[in-house]
Amino acid sequence: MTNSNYLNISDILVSNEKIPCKILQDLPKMGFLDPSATEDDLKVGSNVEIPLWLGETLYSRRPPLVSVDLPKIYKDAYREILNADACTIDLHKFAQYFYELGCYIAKYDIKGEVATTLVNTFKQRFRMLLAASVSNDSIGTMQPLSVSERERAAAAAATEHALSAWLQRGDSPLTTACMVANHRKRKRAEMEML
Amino acid sequence: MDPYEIEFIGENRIISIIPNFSYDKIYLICGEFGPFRAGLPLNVPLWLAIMLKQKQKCRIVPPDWMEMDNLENLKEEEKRSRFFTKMPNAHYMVEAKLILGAAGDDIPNSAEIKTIIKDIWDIRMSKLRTSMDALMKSGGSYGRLDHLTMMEINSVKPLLPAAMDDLLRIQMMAKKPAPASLNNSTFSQSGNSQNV
Amino acid sequence: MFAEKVIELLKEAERNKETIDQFNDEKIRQILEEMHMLFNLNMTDANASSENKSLWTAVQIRHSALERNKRCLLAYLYNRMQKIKTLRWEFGSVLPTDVRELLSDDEYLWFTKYSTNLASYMRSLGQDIGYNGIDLTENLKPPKSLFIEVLCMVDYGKLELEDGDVIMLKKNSRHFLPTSECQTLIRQGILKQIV
Repeated sequence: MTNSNYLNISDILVSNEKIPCKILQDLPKMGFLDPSATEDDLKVGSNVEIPLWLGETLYSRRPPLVSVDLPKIYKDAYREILNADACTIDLHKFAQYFYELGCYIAKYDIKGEVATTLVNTFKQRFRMLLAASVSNDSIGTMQPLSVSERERAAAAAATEHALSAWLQRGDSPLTTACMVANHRKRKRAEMEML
Repeated sequence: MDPYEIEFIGENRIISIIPNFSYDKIYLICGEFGPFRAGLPLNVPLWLAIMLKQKQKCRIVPPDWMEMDNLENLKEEEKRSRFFTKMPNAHYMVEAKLILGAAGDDIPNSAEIKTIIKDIWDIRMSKLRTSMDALMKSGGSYGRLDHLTMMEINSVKPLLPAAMDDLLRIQMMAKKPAPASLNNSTFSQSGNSQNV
Repeated sequence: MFAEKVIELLKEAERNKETIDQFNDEKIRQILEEMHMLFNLNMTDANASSENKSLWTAVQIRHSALERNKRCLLAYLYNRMQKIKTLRWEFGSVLPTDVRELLSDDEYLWFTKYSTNLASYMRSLGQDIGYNGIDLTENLKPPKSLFIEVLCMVDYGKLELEDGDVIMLKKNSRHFLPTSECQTLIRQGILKQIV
């Protein structure tokens, strides 16, 4: 999870996630936002699932055009499970961008409970990252991690690997550069498919 | 950092060798060494010692700390203590790996020494892992890293500092008010942190 | 939904973090068309909103969609730019033709300019003490030995060494060479070190 940065692709993908919103004013010509709407215009009171970037823009207009509800994973039922034992939840299945999205969503939670849950969950799941970095079954241990957790765990696994390689071997062989090797691999794979 | 880069730094350490040739003083970037007199010990950088040994031009004198009793004591100390004990020098693993690798015949009991150093390393690494977890659980604000060598510290990067960054960011971002628009630059957010 | 095509573009780029893809001219053209369409719709509605105040919200929504598209396109180009920078450090100053095809013309122009910048910077290093500059793309790992054994992976042709000797690099030929000569070729995948 890096700084929310204008040019950061990860942040763009996070802000593309859909969140549930309630329309507070009539929005002419925007009926297509609600798949169940029958008219061209979007009426007050409709519930729509729109991307985060759109939701935040509409919310910040004065007066606000929508009110943002919490997505399922940040609501009471899931929060209780997360506070009890966060390591049991498969974040990849339920919320790939759990932490990043949660940071944006936490502002809409007046009670501030989402923020506490985020912090707690992160602390509890840290040991899953440690386990994934030293495990032999990397696919199994990485499976239930969110996107940012996976990145951290992969980096940690690479460090572990480099360290144990250093401990074992005597010299450090020079290798083909990373992008070159991957480029060749891809070309070979494409050739084989033809 | 790559472990090899740390090894490069550790290779600059001075150890004692006994050359089997004679030569004048040499002037290296890191200092002057010599003159070399066959049979007389002198101090040189570790990398030079290894290179000479590989060319069979010298014998390596084992460093003071690399002997059984000393290491046994260190190991007991490490097992006993909750914190990390002070190691003989800041690059014990690099020295051990290079010297025992190239000059095992010059060190008495080299096989047992290898095992015991590996044991100490393993104990310290597992202590490091548990204390990382404890650090994150307690809020990840700061941790004591006394007496850790560069190689051991490097093994927790980038995981530990990145995770601490993430945690801080979650704690701070979750308190901020909603930004004006996600499609413009969001740098204006950082200005609010003083009000929190 | 607006700005979905552009997300597809970004997802493609994210899928292949290790290599660079073909510059997706086609998709970019479609996205620019979508942006034009949004802009035109907004022009009509903005002019009409003097009579019908409620159309203002539609204009706002379309405008933020335009900004969203712009942000995503800029991110796509910026991300590619970072990868192209890495290409210079890994492939050297001359790109193989199959890599060259993956870049758009403007991107290739940027690559040559970056290459020139890098070369003039490297040349300027150490000039005050009499060096001709240092090649920063070498010695990325601490050197371990003066000579190494290498295996040639492709038919490369002639290689001229510093002392003037010329060796023929044929596929599967083995050579014992000074490290400094081989480093670039190893990084480019032409030679492979034998341990």
